[in-house]
Amino acid sequence: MFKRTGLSNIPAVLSFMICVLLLAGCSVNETYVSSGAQEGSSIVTRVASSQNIDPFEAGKQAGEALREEMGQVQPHTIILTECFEDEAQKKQVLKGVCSVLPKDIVFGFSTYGSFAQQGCLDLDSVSLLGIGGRGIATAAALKRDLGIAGLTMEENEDELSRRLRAGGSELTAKLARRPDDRLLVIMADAHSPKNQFLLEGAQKEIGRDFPITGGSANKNAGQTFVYFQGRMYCDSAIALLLSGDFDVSMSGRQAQENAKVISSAAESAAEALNGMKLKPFSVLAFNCAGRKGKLDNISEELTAIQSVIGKQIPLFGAYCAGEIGPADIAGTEKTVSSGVGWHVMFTVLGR
Amino acid sequence: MLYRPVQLVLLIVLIVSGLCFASNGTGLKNHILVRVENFTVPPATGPLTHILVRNLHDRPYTVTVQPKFPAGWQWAPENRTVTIEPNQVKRLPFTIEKAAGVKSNSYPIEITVFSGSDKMVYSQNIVCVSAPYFKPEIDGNFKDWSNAIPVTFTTAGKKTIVNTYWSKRYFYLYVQVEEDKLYSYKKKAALIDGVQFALASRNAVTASAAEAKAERYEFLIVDSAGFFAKDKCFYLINPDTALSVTQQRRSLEKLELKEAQVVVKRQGRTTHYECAIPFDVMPAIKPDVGREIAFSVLVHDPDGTGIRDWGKAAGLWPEQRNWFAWCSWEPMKWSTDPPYDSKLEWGLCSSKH
Repeated sequence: MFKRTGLSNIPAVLSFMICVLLLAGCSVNETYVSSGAQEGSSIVTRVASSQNIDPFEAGKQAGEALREEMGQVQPHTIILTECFEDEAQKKQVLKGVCSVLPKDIVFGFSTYGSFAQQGCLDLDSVSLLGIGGRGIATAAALKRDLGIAGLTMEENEDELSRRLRAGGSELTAKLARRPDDRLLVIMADAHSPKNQFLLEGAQKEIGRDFPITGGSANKNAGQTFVYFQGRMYCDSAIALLLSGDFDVSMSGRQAQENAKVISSAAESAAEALNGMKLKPFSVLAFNCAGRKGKLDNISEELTAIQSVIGKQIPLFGAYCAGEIGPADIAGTEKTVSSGVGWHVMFTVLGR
Repeated sequence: MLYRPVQLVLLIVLIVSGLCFASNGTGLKNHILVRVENFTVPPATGPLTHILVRNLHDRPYTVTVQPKFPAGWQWAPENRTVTIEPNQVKRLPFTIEKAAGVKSNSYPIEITVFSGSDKMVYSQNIVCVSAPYFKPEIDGNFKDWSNAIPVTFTTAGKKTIVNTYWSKRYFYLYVQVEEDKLYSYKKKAALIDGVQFALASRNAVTASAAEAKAERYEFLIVDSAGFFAKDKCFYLINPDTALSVTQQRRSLEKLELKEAQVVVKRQGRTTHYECAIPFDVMPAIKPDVGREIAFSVLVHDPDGTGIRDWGKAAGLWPEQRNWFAWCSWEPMKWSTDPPYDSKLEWGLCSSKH
């Protein structure tokens, strides 16, 4: 009797074990660490973009262009921004990029467009920042299920604040830390003004003096995605920590009118550039999509930026639903970074 | 002996100062017009709002404009002092630093205008006039519109509710018109109900000369009579057309815009107009988050309220009436006064939150 019962349990036990194995196989690795940075070794950052109504082709073209730009250096980290409508198209963009580049190194978020030295890109576009070389290392983390989808500042401010602070803290705690950590980039499905709560959580872990920049994902209905190792997530945040023997210089400015959007971008770029005492090798710019909407001609802001930084240094810019960086608001408590809206946040990397 | 002259002098002083005071008291009201522009992004996102001040006097006026937004809101600066030349309009920016949206989408604003010792208080209810990003089905279901920001106005006791969305390829409009009866479009109809609307880039203006260009796109959506007839959208004017066209009572037959999707439905005492207009037919408008555009609506209810004009409800000044602001068509009828301008502030935002 006992023996028969034991035998009859074998299929159930096997099924259970198979389920456990399958679940383990499906589980998502929520952290990433590139190889470590070696002092004095090379750092290569390059930007490539593509615009094509076929999202797969757009992703593939951008990936191929980036590979060509990087030359002999294999990127170990890629930041992806894209501006396509609908989840299905965004999936195709990812597929396209990952048909050319390893998906494990692709991180990013859905935006309202991008800008680089080559110009400004709007709908049906993808932009990639490739990071490679032994002189720079990265660590990335994903925080899924922030639990804020559907919550509003008007009705759920306390709950939003609690969940986002906890999420930001958990996200940052997952990052593999190094003594030469220099810059944290946060890309999240938490638009302004929610991004401040997420940032406060991150700052609790990493410190209020640590340089943090980043942007909030497109908040248009059905477009609020962040990307981690080539997969898409809603209601989530990712953090990317850059390390190595380089310095960063940051600046932010806000504006809501055409002329001021243009002039503030130039002022902010100049402040960030002047603050960099070493040789700049890359510029990151997280810009507000609302600012873009105030421009009569969006290329005029880029022209103003180029009048300051020139046309040679790799520029990776994204139009976001909220920005993280030095806030340009009178009376703001002194922290290096704040989560705000209507800003352009520049970070100049130099060594 | 001295008593009577002193009395006289005092009397004269009192009369003169009284007259001066009376003149000053009504001076601002007679000479200064104020209007607060509606928010083009939700208040909670920290919009920049503008107060328009116009000097009707024949000499410059220096005024201090001090707004008071709803309780709990913060704005900057607290006030602005400007000198306005005769007939000049100044647009004064105020940044809303802290605010909260309300479901009614109606925000009472009080503006106090000072000039020396003279003071005038102006009150206006403003709304958020913004189209969130969303792609609704144009199917007569209307359930997709819960994420829009409704703009409600009442004309002769009848409500009109205007909702808008946008995507990169379409501008979507849903208008609920409370009215007793719906008159559908058919050839040689004596009365037709409909929703006429205009879209333009933010800086477009309406000229007052027949040979000037229209600087706008204008459409009319109507219900079509007949069980299987498709509801229609007519394309009335585009920016390159001379304004003289607006004064022609054109037949609608040749003006149909096939690329538009339209559904008109009657439910109870309300007519529902739902449509999608491709941005391809409006190349001067670049859809983008935060983009400000110009927009207005006329509702035609010929057997009821007559024409309902969003421009009037939004507080445009009487000087902003203009026959060239809207197109005529057969068989619509204007009232004796010209309609208000068709270019009011409107915005494209990401979401209502």
